[in-house]
Amino acid sequence: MVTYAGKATTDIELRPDTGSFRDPSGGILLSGDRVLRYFRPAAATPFNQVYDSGILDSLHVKGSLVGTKLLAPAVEAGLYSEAMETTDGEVALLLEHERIPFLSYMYGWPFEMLRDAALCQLDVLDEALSAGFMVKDATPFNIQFVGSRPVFIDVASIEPYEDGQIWTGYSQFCRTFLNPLLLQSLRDVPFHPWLRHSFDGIDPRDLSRVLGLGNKMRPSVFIHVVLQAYLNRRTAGAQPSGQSHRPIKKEATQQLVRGLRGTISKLHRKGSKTTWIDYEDQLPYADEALAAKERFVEDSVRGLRPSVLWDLGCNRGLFSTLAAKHAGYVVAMDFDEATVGALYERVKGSFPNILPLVVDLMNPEPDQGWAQTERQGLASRGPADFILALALVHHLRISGNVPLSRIFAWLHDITRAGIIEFVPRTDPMVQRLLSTRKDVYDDYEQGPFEAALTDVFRIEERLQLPGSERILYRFSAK
Amino acid sequence: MLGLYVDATSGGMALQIILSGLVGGLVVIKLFWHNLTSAVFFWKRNSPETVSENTPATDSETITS
Repeated sequence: MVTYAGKATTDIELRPDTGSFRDPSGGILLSGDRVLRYFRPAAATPFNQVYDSGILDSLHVKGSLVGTKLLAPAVEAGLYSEAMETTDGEVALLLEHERIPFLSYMYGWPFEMLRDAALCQLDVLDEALSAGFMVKDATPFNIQFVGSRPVFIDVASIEPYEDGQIWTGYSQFCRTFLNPLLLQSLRDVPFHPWLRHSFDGIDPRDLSRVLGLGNKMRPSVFIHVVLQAYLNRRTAGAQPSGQSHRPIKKEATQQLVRGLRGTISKLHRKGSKTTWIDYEDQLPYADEALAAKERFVEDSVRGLRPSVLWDLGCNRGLFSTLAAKHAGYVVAMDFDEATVGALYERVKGSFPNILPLVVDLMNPEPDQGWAQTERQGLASRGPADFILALALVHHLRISGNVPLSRIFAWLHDITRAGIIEFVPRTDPMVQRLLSTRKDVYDDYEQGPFEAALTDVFRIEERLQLPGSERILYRFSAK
Repeated sequence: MLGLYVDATSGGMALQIILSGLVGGLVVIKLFWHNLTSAVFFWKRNSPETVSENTPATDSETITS
């Protein structure tokens, strides 16, 4: 069976996951670092069929399913008892999942990650259909990334296939995977603001309004967007007949799934050239300074070996990849979506412990969804053990107008330690920022910078880069 | 508020039924085409002109024997 290095049951204080309440078949319970899934009695028999078929094993071996193991009531009696109490006696089966090191959502993925997540979803469905099962949902929330590898996490949505049944997740798949990818690929419009606001994705009618005639005439767009929008309109006012739909052959559903796979695998971002994508090739300091900076970062991370490191403003991941050699898991964040896409392609397959994410630090993902507890914001997924904030603060202070004291107070909320870089106002990059705005940043000097830093952190080490006025500080919480 | 009462997947359901019909239709067309081309090929292979023009006499004997 699908196994992984589980932990011994020592702490059995369980709490329901606030993002798992919609599925009538069960939900997620958390206990420390352990992630448990329970099934209610009515859902236990169908799931046992799924489990006994070996499909979960097969998907896990291929890397498309999160590690999952069934917990035996005889072995985990205490856990079952606690789960029964937490759920008012609704537990018939308990599973344990491999813990995802850092949860990420579709609005934090660059185009390439959403595309690979869509392919993962389709591959799981195709294999499920071949084995006699159906995956009832199709939302990016059921995919998580372990580093740069997408994995399907919602084993409860795999059910025994009934002859002639429809793929109920088809419309959801189009709205949350296909349409956002088409929007960005065909129109060069990023899908992130849309998906961040709308968990239901992009309605085919809305996408149809945005696309030009040429794009609408593409066969895949015509079928999945234009025709679906038309049929949605036509069927919207229809009275429910109460009759079941015409049976659909499984082969037809598989053709549909494979057709979508073919369409999506050929989609590419329309534009890729941004101001930041070539930044690492034209750094504003000499090779000697770069070498010293790399050494400082690598030595610091090697010495502390943090479990979770956040690289804030990672660009194409020069320092993320260095840190990943010695940190358990690196969450590499940058606001430039195309640059994060390039980082993803760079680390895919070669750095299994780097998770690239699109994050605008001036407006990071908030807690949102139902009761604002369903999907965690950035701060709720912290704190990090260590952060890298290299060539970042001048952007927050000058472009973002955030006072230094607030920058360091926020850093104090999200990390225990890290490395921060002071880029002086004589630096060409700061000069470029100041050239287009009135200089009202009197406090942006080394003295006030250090004073604000030491208000909340302790400076452990500092290094002035050779041939440059830039200074690196390694700090830790007081 | 009407939108709350409209099932957003109804068009998708209708579309799947149409597509499955198309897939079935394509299979029929494919079969028809296959049968047609096979029949034409078989006829061409067996017509005396084709045999005399394109095949050596020994093959012709083999075919007619």
